[in-house]
Amino acid sequence: MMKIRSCLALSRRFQSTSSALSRNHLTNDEIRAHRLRIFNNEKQVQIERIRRVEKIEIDVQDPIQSTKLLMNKNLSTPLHCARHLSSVLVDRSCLALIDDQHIWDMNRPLERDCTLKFLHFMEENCEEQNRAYWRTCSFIIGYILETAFKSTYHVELCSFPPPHFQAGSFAYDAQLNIGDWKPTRDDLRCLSVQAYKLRDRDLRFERLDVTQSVAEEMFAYDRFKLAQIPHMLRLVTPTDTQPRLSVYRMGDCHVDITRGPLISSTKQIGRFEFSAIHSIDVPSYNETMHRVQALSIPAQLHLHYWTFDYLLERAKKKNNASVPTLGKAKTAEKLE
Amino acid sequence: MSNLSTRTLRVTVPHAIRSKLVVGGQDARHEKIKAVLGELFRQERIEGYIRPYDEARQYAERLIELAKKYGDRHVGTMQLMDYWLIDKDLIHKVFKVFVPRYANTIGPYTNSYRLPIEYGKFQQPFKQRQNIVLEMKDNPYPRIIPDPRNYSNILSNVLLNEARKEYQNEKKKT
Repeated sequence: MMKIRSCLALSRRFQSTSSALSRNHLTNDEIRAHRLRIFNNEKQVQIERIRRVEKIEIDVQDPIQSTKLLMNKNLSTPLHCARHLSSVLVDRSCLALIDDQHIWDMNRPLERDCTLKFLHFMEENCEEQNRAYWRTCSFIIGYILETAFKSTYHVELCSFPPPHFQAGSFAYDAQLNIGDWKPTRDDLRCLSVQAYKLRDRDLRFERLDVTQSVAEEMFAYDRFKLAQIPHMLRLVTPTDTQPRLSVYRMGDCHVDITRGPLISSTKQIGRFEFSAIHSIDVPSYNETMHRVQALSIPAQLHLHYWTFDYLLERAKKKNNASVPTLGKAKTAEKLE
Repeated sequence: MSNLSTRTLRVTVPHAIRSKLVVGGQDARHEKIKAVLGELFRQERIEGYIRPYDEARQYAERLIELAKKYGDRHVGTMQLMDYWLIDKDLIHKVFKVFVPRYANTIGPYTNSYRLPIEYGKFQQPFKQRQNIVLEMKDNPYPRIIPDPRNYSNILSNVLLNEARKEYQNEKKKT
């Protein structure tokens, strides 16, 4: 549903310079399908590695009731624990706290005996939840950019900066290959509607730790991601032999690299509005990319539409968070 | 007994005409108030019809003020306590528990909260009763009105705080 009126004019002007199709003449949809296929295969391989189902004891601590649950090692997630307890916990918890120390995704399998607490958006300290929420929303911008435009346009995603509340918006940096397209208010609204459709589909976010070879196969057609992979590898556990990369999949739609925990499912998105698209210079890749900015609030928090529009006006200003850089340090600061 | 003085009573006394609590004259009224006082001091949180409970509240406050001021060696105070509290172990409770608990506070030692009026509970459909909760302060039960929660870290408030700071910076510049 790309802005039909502009595509004819652009294709005539920028035929020589823009890469309207990718280098391999594949559309965005085909590349996405390829990534998903590799993800599914790798997930299958990792599940089959579990020979015996072992039990672990989880001590769920809730201010109202605490219970001990017996769950499966490397198979049960905090979401399964919440399903045993109550539907309120399933709907409103976005992250889990293991042993009062580690933040854990709701859909990530548990590995050992621990104490579990469910975190939601209205607590005393919800900094981690807020960051995870904006990280998830940046992830979703990536999906929308890949799917919103017509297949004659090839969008290359780069990365997104860590969530920074002072900037007033979260962003995704991508090479849109569109030229001088200035989005109108209606264009931005069309993009926002895609996010609301995702919320209705209630898609879960699943994590997978993959090795470098699998990651390079997965992102074989994404040149920016390939460049980032060597910088993102870390040893997940001290006993691991190979450094791994954490990759997240949303429902069965989109796969992307991101380090931090994401929230439990897209149902928890409240309002989601795209605010602006600015162009930024990225010296690491020697290109000028687009930074797509948006603003969002979780569904659990209620905000009047006037106040949200006021924040949206602020979100239209250019986000000055860090530009994608291929850092030499192991902990790459550009992606989270 | 008239020279037992306390400070001003720090509970609200309604301007409305004090209504008859129960049939049977002053003795029956005293019995009713003694019953309420006994329950309040024993259980520290009770619910009931506003008229006798509001009056009993004034008696409870006065008894505790007297106990604080005069102590348990004073004859007049002990006579009052003896009359108004039927269970004698509650007299011990007033001096041993309540006086040290409220030693450093002035002001009402009881709280009263209005409960919602439930219509249609009695046989006569138009009769409604305003019930209240009487409780001694600092009692061991969880609070009736919970502490206000701190929502300053939720995402909408964080964003609004940032917007407010920016607005104030803009104003300072111009």
